Amino acid sequence: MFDTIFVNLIDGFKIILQVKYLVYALGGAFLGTVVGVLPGIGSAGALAMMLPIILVLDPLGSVFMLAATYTGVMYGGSTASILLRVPGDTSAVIACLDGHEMAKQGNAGAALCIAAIGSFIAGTIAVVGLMILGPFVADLALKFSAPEYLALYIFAITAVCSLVGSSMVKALLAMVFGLMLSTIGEDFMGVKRFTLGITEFWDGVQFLSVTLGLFAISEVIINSESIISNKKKVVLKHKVFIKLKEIIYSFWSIIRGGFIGFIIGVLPGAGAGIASFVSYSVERQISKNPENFGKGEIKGVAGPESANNAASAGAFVPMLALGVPGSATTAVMLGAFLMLDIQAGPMLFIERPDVVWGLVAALYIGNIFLLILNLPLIGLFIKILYIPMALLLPIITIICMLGIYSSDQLTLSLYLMCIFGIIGYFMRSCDYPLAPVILGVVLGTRMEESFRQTMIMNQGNFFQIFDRPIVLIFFGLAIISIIIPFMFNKIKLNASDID
Amino acid sequence: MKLLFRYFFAKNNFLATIFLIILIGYFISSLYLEKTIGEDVVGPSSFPILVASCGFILLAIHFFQNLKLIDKDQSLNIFIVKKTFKKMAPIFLTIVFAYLFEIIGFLFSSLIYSFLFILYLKKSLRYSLLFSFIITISIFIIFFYGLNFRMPMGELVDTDKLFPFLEDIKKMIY
Repeated sequence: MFDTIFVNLIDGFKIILQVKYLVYALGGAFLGTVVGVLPGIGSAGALAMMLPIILVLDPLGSVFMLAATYTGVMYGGSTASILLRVPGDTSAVIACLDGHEMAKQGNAGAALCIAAIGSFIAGTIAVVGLMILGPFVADLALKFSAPEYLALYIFAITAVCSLVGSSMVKALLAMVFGLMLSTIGEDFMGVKRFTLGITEFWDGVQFLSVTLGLFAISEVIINSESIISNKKKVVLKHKVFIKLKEIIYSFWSIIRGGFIGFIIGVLPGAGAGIASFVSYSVERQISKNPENFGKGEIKGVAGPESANNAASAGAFVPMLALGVPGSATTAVMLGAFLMLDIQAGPMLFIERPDVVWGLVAALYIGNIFLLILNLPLIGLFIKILYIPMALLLPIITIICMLGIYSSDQLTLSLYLMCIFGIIGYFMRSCDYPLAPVILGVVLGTRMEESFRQTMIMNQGNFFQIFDRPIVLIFFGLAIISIIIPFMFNKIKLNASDID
Repeated sequence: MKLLFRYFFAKNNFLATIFLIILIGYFISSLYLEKTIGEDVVGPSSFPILVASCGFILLAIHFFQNLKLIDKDQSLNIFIVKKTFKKMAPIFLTIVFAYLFEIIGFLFSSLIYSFLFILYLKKSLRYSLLFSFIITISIFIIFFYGLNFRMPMGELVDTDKLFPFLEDIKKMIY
């Protein structure tokens, strides 16, 4: 079996190593990085923007360019999060926590380097996984039905809430707020809820308004406050590159992130956002210094950044093997395949091995280009931090406004961003973590759908889900994720009492 | 009564109290939703009720954890809110920007917004004017021409009619 895979992969490389395809892949990785930095576009939007361009290319070139763009967007998203605390996508939210803290401490270069290196290593792990495990994992993913997804979402929520911020109750309250927001609009049966008679709310609250409001606008308020109150800001000299010992220190986080990301990426609907959240919580759980997380811990960047890149490659498994898009991005990709007259599904491996293995090779090459392109560019990216705050703050707000407006052309979404900016400011002042709100908004709709489908499957008997082994595993993990931080706190309190 | 008021609006409880008020409204509204639809045995109201119930339990834990605040002479958070209100000027500016965004179009609204924002951040008039112009034009070129974004051109002041060459350049590019 491995011989066949190897031969196929060599064939894939023979195709992509033609100059014109290399140029397409390089162009895709570059454009992806640039577009990924801008908030509001996201990986699906970026691929959609590429559709008019790929129409003029040959089908293989189009597929390669899209694959490279995808890897570029995933990396670019974290750049804005790390430098400016402006996450453009769900998967980039977690980079705001430790990545931005590192930037504030003058370690922006190290954060960006580890994000690039992690993305490269984890991306490579995921591509190997896609090659070898793809068909098997896709089979396993098919065994996931509503109860398993519900258990997965509950685990993701408890894992994140038990670890983010100083108080678990506050984190869970923030998550409840996010879940409440997710119930606004039409549910999956078409029933309108909590819309306050506003038709624009039928589609729900726009994710970008919530994210950019909570993270970016609250940051703008806090920074302008410090300028007005004449707080002397220390001008930091940012390190452009990372130390070797920092790479070694984060190495296993990258590897773990790669595996976690790939497995979660394969599950349809789970996506890179959840992968990065889960990876962050795992890193903090097993860390010897969990108190450093949220204060600029490099592992808090390495793990999640690796996970989100690996998840994006993992999402190709159900798309290629089953013709089932696991995320909005792979849905756009599948649409592009249809435009190019390429039929994804089990027959694709037999009928168009050039596409499948060329794509795998393109992901490898895309990762390499990403590293080559981005490491030298880090110095340039860091220059953004030297722009005076008085100029940077209006630029951030205007870009956020454009990002939101471009996605739905609604002024209401702009007002919502301002409201969430105020909420975010107060939440930060009162020590409430922001990430659980985002997790609630992202998971709420899917969680409700899984919950109601589970209840339909079990004819109203919720406890029947515990007959399923995968559900039991996830619930066990959820309980462990709640208990462990409590135990750690107790041990720490006892230790401080003894001291 | 005053003690209770002080307790609920103490710094650590202030947001939780606001959230409690919202949660009560949310819970009551969810009771009015349909209970079941067809095969859907739990209906559209089930999840919001579940979420609200979790919220009430968590708030109860939160308020219980902070019971110690009831004895302390906590300054009312209302005063902190008043102080914070002053710091909110950038957000009010942003709301005005959002309001003007479609009415006078991106170019003018962005120019006014960035000018006022930079001026608010204690910069000189000349500096604010120069950089607001540079910021607006740079962002416009990157998004409108570089990324082919759809931008509001204005209803009251139609930038399209005022500067018809902007759209012509775009047509030349694409």
